Amino acid sequence: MKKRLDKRGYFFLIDSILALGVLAVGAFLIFTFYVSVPSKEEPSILSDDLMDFFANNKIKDVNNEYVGLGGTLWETEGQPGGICNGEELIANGENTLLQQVAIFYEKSSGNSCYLNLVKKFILKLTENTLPTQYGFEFWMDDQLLYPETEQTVSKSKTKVLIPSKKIAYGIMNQETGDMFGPYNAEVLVWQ
Amino acid sequence: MAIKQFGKKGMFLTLISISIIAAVIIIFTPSGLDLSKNMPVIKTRVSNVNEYVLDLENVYLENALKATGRKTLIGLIKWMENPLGTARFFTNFKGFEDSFSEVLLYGQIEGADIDEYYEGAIMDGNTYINLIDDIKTTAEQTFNVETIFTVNDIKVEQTRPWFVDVEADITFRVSSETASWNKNVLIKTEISVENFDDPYYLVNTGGSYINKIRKSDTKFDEWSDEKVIDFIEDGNYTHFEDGQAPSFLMRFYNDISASSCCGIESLVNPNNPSISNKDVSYVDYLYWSSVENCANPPYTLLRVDKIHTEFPNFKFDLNHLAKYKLSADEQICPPPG
Repeated sequence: MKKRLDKRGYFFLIDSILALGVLAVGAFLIFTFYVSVPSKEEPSILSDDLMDFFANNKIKDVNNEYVGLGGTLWETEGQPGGICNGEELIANGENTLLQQVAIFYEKSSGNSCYLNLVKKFILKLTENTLPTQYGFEFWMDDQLLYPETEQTVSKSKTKVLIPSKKIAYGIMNQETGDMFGPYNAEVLVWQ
Repeated sequence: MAIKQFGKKGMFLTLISISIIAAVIIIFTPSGLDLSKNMPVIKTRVSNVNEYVLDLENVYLENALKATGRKTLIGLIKWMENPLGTARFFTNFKGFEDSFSEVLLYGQIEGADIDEYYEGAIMDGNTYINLIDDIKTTAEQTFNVETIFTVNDIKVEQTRPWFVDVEADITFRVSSETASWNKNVLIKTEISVENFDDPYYLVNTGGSYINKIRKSDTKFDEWSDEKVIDFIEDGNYTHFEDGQAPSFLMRFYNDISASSCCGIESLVNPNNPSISNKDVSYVDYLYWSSVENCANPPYTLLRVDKIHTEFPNFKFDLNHLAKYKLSADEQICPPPG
């Protein structure tokens, strides 16, 4: 009787080890099917937020020492020593930030200083807003406006690159009825 | 016998556990046909295109109409001035409205390019159709959508003295891979009449007297000698609620009857070289339309010395003398006594 019970103990032990093995293999197989994918949510939110910030805020509403009404951009950048010396820089508080970017972009076809001006404009509005692990570019009609050079290496390494697009346009001169745009504005954010 | 029985049961249990594990693996294995993961992408695309459609309907088409409407009026005024020929009015409102629509949409008047009638290009590349084509191209590049527009009708009218109302009846269709939008919209905009050259002055003087329309700040009960002198000097315009003046648009087709809503008037400056001394009222719409007959004038003509000192030959009719809160120093026509 004792001999029979001993044999049964070994058998149960082996059986439980086998079952445990089956469970372990099963669990392993299940979890290996789920590939770790980097989150798209954060870059997507940042990209949309950044574009919305430019598209939905007017110059008059921005509390920024450089860009806001009476800011250094309008006071000094058209003066000697400024980025666009000799150019008349008039702030229109009713323009959105995106429209102002488009106006500078339109004027850059006549004077390339406006490309430097728009670069600084975007820099001053976005500095310290994006977490350091994120990269960001601002394009208009296939022309890179910010930063100075395209971040090809950084962009090629990332697995998630989120674009946010809007069309920028407006009336340049109320008296003559001249319009600017429409331009394809694009913000790219990646991690 | 007992061991044999237990052994068979164990095998059976092992088979069951393997089956359960296999079932769990099959159930939880991610399927390649799971469409739900694509939903956020589709949702974002539809949302982006929907924003474009709303922007088109509420902002772009209105901005473009305002910009082109302003250019159209500038072009029509230049066409009336006709620097290369004789200045002319439109025959009536219908003629003006038809030409306005033709210039706004195609940059043409009576089938010819309007820019040929003057120096410089006002409508070239700036017609409403051009601006609509621009947004079509940009939207295709930006959102990969196709936009088809049909402009059904253009209307122009005035319901306020200082603004021209323009309406465009437009049907458009926006289609993307995932969704499409069909809309019929009435786009309305208002264009300020300020800073346009008054076509009535231009045509009547063959383009030699250019008077820009600027609204006077003086209210109807604030007029005085000094304010009238400044008013003539600056060439400004005013609106009287009970006035007899024509509206801005009526000046395009030489209709000097009273506008019920929108009459505006200015006073002709006799110091302008193109203005000759006439026995008529120097209120703009009367100066060029009244027949001179001092012995039997259409209205009494009066002189105000303070105004006359600055602007010799300037004459008022009795109605406007009262409107500008002036008192006459001498009756000129018909001669007193």
